[in-house]
Amino acid sequence: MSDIERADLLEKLIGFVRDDLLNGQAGAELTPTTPLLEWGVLDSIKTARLLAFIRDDIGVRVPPKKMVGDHFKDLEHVTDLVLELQQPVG
Amino acid sequence: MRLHELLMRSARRTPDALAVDDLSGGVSYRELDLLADAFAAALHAAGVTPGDRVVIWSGKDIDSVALMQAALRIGAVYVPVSAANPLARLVQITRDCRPALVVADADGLRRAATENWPRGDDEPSMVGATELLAAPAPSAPPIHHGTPDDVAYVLYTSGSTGVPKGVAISHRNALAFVTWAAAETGLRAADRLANHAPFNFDLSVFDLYAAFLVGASVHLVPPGMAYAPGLLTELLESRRITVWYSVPSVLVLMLHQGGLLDGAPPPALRVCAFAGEPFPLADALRLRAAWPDVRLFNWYGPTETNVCTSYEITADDLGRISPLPIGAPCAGADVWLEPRDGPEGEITVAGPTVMTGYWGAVPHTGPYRTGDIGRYDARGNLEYVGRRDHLVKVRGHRVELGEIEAALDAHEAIGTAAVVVIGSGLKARIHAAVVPRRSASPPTLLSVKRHCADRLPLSMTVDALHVMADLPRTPNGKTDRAALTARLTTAPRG
Repeated sequence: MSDIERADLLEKLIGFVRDDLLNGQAGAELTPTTPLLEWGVLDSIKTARLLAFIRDDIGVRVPPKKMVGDHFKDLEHVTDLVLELQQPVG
Repeated sequence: MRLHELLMRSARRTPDALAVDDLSGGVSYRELDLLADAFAAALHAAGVTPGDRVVIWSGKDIDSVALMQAALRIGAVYVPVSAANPLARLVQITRDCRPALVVADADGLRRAATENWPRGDDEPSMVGATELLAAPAPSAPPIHHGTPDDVAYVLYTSGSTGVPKGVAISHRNALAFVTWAAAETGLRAADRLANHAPFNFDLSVFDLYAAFLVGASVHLVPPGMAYAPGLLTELLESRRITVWYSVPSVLVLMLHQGGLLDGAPPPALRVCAFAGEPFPLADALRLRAAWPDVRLFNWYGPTETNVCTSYEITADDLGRISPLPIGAPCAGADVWLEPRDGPEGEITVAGPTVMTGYWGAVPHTGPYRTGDIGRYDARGNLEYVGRRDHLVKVRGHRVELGEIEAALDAHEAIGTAAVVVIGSGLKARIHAAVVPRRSASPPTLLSVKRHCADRLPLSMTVDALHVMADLPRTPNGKTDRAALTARLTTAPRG
């Protein structure tokens, strides 16, 4: 996984959270380390929407046991989780 | 009988039975009993005396359960405050109930250190649960008995003026509900209860104390798992949960996004109860049809009254088209409508489950008027109709719109704010309409969320922000919430 691919993925996730979950009202403050759970950007329903986006637009299915708070703390962590799940098994 | 005797009796009867499991490990009744004793000694050594309050600011762990029991054993009143509450709200609560001590979990200690936990002669001290237990303490004082009408715990709930209010519940209040609920659900020692609600939400009173009453086990669901309906569904199965109790929203989420009905019914489940908000009929009937062997209960009661009516959903309800009733009075409560002769009225409750009062206010006497409007169906069951004030439920959590507005008024870029809830059940969203302060640039949703996170529990954070030039007003100048709701539901999303 190159740095460019990681940056692309992060960009996609930021775009989704800004435009979809925050109705495009985030301003310039949304960053990869914005505390999503702490500030209530993600709640149970919005987490479900984010998971659907990751599944449908990025092609990664997040298994239930990975759906714990730590992985959704901020977009850095979400990106790491998606990259980890993208690694081919073997 | 006192509330803390439930655990003590089961510890004598079945010391080796599993008492509490927090999903990382469990303790037996003997171990929990000893841990409660050790915390009782530690609280006593820390200067806590009968009648004092002990605030427990924590997530879901075994220490917190033992601390609640410890407080009661020395005659203190415990005040659970979940980790979802920011420091600023914790401070509002401690300034109201003036505790002798605040006990926090490791995460809470870290938060208090990085934010500014107030220090001063007038402020309570905060100690970590681990540190409290590690401090040298002589053995625990004898078990405090007191009277059944002594306050056992205080649960803080949203207040309309911007300050949370503490509902004070006595031993008698809690025991009336717990003993009724255990009998109604046929609870026994082999049962395994899930505890989904946070400890400051009164649903958890059933999970903990009904389990202790019969010597069953209670399985604490960590807050992080609330984001994972699939994991909750898995938990029902892997933990062989026999009794589930939560707000309907959680079950609906599990049903729609957690595959709750995809496979066979959860193997051990025999009772599923819900309370806190209306359960959408179609989803409730899907559950009823899919789980013929599981008893389903729709319970009703604000924190101030505990559960005071109950309706069991049976196969007879499968053809129902009217909303699920909240049922008939239970737990020794008298429940009626005021006025008594109208088609609809305010649900009014008297009896052993009604709170002793709000902390710091004059004691409550007589019947409690819930503010909920009800009516009777053709069979004489009570139905919930709605509210007569600005208290709303968002996914089962009680929210006073005024408390959110008070928090928003303190935002640097907001001049005035009005809050409404649009949608119901899982689709309920908190909308804030704000008029920016002159000479400030308009606030963003993210900055408002950040601002809320510092002041309000997460369940009360703003979901959508609408910046307006002015707010609709009633003829006498108050914010017209009905007109605002109409404007927001017809206007394009912004």
